[in-house]
Amino acid sequence: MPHRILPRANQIVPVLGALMLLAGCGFGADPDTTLRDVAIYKAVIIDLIDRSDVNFDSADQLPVVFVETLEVEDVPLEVQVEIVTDFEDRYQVRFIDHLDEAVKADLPDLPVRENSLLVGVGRITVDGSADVRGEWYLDAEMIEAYEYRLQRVVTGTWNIVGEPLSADPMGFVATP
Amino acid sequence: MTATTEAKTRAAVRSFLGDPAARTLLPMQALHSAGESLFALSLVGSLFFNVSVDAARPRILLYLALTMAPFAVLAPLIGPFIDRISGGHRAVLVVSLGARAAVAALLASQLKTLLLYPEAFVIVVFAKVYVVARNALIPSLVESRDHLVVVNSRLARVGTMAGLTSGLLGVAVLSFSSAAWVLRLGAVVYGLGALAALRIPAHRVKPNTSPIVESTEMHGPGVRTATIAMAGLRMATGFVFFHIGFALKTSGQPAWVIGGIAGTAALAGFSGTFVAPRLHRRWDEQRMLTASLILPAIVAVFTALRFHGVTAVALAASLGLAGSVGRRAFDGVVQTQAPHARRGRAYAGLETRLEVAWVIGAVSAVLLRAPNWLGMVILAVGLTALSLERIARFYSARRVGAEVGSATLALRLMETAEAVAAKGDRQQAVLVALAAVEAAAAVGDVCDERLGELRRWSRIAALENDTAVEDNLLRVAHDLVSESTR
Repeated sequence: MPHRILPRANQIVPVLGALMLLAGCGFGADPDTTLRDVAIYKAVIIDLIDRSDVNFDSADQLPVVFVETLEVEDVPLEVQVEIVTDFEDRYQVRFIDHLDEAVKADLPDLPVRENSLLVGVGRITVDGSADVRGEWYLDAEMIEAYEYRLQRVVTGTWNIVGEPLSADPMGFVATP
Repeated sequence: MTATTEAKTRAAVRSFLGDPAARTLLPMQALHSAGESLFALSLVGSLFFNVSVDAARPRILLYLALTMAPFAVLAPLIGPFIDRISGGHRAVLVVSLGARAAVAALLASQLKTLLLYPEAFVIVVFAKVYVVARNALIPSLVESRDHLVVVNSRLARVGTMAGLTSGLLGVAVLSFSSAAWVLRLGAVVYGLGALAALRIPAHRVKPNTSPIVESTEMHGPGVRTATIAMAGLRMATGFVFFHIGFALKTSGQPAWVIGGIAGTAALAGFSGTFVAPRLHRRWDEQRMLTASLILPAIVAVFTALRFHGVTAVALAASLGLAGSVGRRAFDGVVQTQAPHARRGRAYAGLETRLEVAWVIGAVSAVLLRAPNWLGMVILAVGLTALSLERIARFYSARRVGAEVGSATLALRLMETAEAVAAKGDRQQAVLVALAAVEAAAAVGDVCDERLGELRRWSRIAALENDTAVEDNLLRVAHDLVSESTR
């Protein structure tokens, strides 16, 4: 029997089916929600960097801001990409999967890596205004956590309302 | 310069560069490897290192799955068409390099956008299309079938040297400029590669053998086991590529560590082209393939015990070396045990399966997202299982070898019978076909009764000069040979 060159239908159909299923999964997040989340997280991240009073010590390269997600499984990829792009002239924003990525776990006081800061952002709850948790971390002793409230100013811009409330940190407590 | 000196120089150049037709592949291969190296380096400045792996995983999975589509669906459909037209493979090579040039130029300004994923995977797909088309074309360009391994070794060496050189150039560009410019340089290199591909002679893969011979050779025990081993190695490479990539990213290793690992793997692959011929003096190809599976399995065990930069480098090096040695051994097996198939589209199909194996390995790593130690254990177990299966087969190697020898004889005779019949001498063809069936009976389960029946038919055909009986006899012989040698 000659070697079969053309694939059988029962070989092609599962492949096409799997591909269509994957393609149909739909990665597109709601653009309005993405825009809102980007604006809120950006405002919180800028405030956390200011509050940390971190001294980024290298002039050669952009400082790195590691971002850990708190209370939520993950910040959607679209939101991550927008935040990374918006900050790219000032900071290298890196969303992390594991604390090891940002922290020197082999040193006793668990400092963040050189020329960087680790911040954590929580779930956004929107009810007219938006509430979100934010934390910053330089080492095991230098941690601060806040509960933020934000108000929409214009489309795509959210401002922090008043002074954020101090809270107990939850993102960096566990040893990596 | 005297005529003698000139002749000597020409001979030396010929010895270094190989067959004149295959020599045209060298600049194209060098530019392909240089482009790949620059493309990989540019990813250091891409979104990949800024977003969390978990968030990006669904997209990576989707595009990896889509990577398989051209091979699973398109290749079987357009492959025969490409085989038939003169310069078909050359056209595929030109398109694969030209398309990468265009997409790389596009991607250069989109490294920090979500378009990174589809565009990067388009480049990966065309790189795999290139490998399949190039490997399918090489046998048509070599003058002697013994040159296949040599030409492949030369291409591997030239490719590695070009890849490393362009990698260094890319690092320089990256330190003075940005990843986008590294990729733009890559686009230019791919473009030059497309131009170099145009210089390849317009060969056509000639269907110079019957499909049955081609098919049976490809399903012979030697080729089959070698293909499984090579697919295992390719799968391991795809798995390690993504597993280590994620592991290094999530453990906060700087990008240069990843570059160092890629460079080490390339160097190990390069050294493999020198190690393989030396190993071949002591071992046959199948043993070389088994050793190629065992080496990374052992290193994976050590990497599982303690995963860090050094063990990751060692694993990448072992896989680079094993992949290179394995490839030389695999080429050797195909060269000796499937001399007809290697010229046909079945060979392209085999290359396609190897590329699909790489994708399956990569998908497994992304799907599992296993902890570092567990990923290494999975790798070690998989490679060890393959090695043990091969070692078990080794004990029956003599029997298998005997079968292959007789099977090959039967196939050769059957092919000759068909060639003689095609020339119009059916009586001679019937005699040769009978000899083919007798050779096949030595290894297969052709019963004496059927053999006796064929002999009776041959006498009737000879006495009555009945072409219908002769055609029928040839067809039955064809079926018997294919069944018994499979």
